[in-house]
Amino acid sequence: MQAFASNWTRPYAMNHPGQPYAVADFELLTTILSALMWRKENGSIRMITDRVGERFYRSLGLAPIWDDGISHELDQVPYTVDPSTFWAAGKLYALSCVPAPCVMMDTDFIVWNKIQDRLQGSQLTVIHREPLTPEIYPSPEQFDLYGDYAFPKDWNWETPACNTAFCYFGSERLRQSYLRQALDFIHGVRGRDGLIYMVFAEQRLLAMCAEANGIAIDALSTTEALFSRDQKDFTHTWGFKQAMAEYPQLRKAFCQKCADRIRHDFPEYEPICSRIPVLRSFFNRQ
Amino acid sequence: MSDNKKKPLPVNEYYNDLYELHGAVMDAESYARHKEADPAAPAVEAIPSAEGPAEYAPESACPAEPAVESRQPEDINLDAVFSEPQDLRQIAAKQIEADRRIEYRPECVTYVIPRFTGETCIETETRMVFGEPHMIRCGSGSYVSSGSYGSYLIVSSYRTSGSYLINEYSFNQNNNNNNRGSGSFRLRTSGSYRGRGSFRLSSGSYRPASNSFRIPPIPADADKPYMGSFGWDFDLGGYGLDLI
Repeated sequence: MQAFASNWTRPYAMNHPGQPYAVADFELLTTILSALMWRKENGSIRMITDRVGERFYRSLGLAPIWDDGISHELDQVPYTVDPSTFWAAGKLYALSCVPAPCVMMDTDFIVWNKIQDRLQGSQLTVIHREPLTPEIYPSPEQFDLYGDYAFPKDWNWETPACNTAFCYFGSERLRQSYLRQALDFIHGVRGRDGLIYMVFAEQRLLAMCAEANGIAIDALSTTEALFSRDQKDFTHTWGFKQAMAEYPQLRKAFCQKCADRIRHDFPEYEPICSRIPVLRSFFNRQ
Repeated sequence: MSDNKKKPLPVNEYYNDLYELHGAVMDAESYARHKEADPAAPAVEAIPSAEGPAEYAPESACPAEPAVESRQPEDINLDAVFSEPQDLRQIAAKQIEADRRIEYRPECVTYVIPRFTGETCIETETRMVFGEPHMIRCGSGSYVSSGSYGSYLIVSSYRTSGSYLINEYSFNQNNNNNNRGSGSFRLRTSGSYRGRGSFRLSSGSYRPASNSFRIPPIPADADKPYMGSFGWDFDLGGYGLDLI
């Protein structure tokens, strides 16, 4: 199964003017684990980024973790896309580079077991559905639209959103329709908001678009099941990243756990990781 | 499917003092120089005024009021014109930073508690008054404020999203001591506000009133909001963390 991860560095440049690109230690470690575990259990994976990202990963010696290579198509994301509002737009542009069937996976999402059988026959599979919490998914009139953009009339605004941390596109028709409508929306709004516009374009729109195309949405799990200790298939650091950003001890413990796992499961990558400055302390522990 | 066929939103709808020429985004000075050197331009155009909102770069020439001295293309030293790198990201980043400085000014926030009643039941109105109208932009995250009002310590946290131009907002809260409740926010000026809050009130503490409207800092190495499971009344962060 062909998968891709993506990393668009323009939002970082906007938030950190004048600073060289960097990735937090815990994000780097989950990026590595995510790619290596996917390869081990489910197939090949590529990284779609921009030149800054590609240079960054190559400079760290991380290019080998993506067996399908690193490429920099995200340089082509137009400057009309506001990175502070659509900070994950790179994910959509990356999807436009990969035909279906394909898996789109966040770098903080890890699949620990084989799941190919669970994807077979599906036109769209997401990790889980999301309830339409008004703070995150407000009603359509809350969006500040621009020009003559109008929401398609065949969208069902009651359908729950799709969490796209893991997303399998089995239908090429859906992939193209989703991308067209999401990019229409991105260029059809005036509002500046770091949350509602992006999650709408990425997650809620997908559900409505699939339904309008008559495509059933399969979910691998539910939020309740995923947060249960019984599930053994998926890790998503998600909001835990905020906690790690705030609590250094938590961050350190998590990073050490990831490093130990890499060293145990993928010892051939230990030399690479131990040379990365922000990871060195976790791999050179005596 | 959308029938949207319009041009993309110009970047200067978002950022003042940014101009666009043949699809490239640049600042006013660069715009003037590039416009001068543009061999496709039949005549020099006026530069949009630096005052007020930036205007989209005009397509037609405006010879009556040229803001840049007219020169023939052969007189232009192209090396000089293009000598400085046009790092568009940095130009936009400066504007973003300027916005942020305006938007996040905790020192402008004051709390006014006009009334509370009873020993154990408080009815408060908390008002945040800003020195002047300005935009507040909230992404995901927690906003924590704490302070002592009268004989009651109020600790509150909000998770909000939205962009709103306000000079004042208030919320009313009826609550019992040591209980949690949710408040609704009322916006008195323009815009919209979406918020949910929980407030914990405890008695017996008295400290001088303070303003500590704390917005969590953006992590130094983050490039995006750290999304969380904050939408479902349980904020567990991530899942499957024990599998690593």
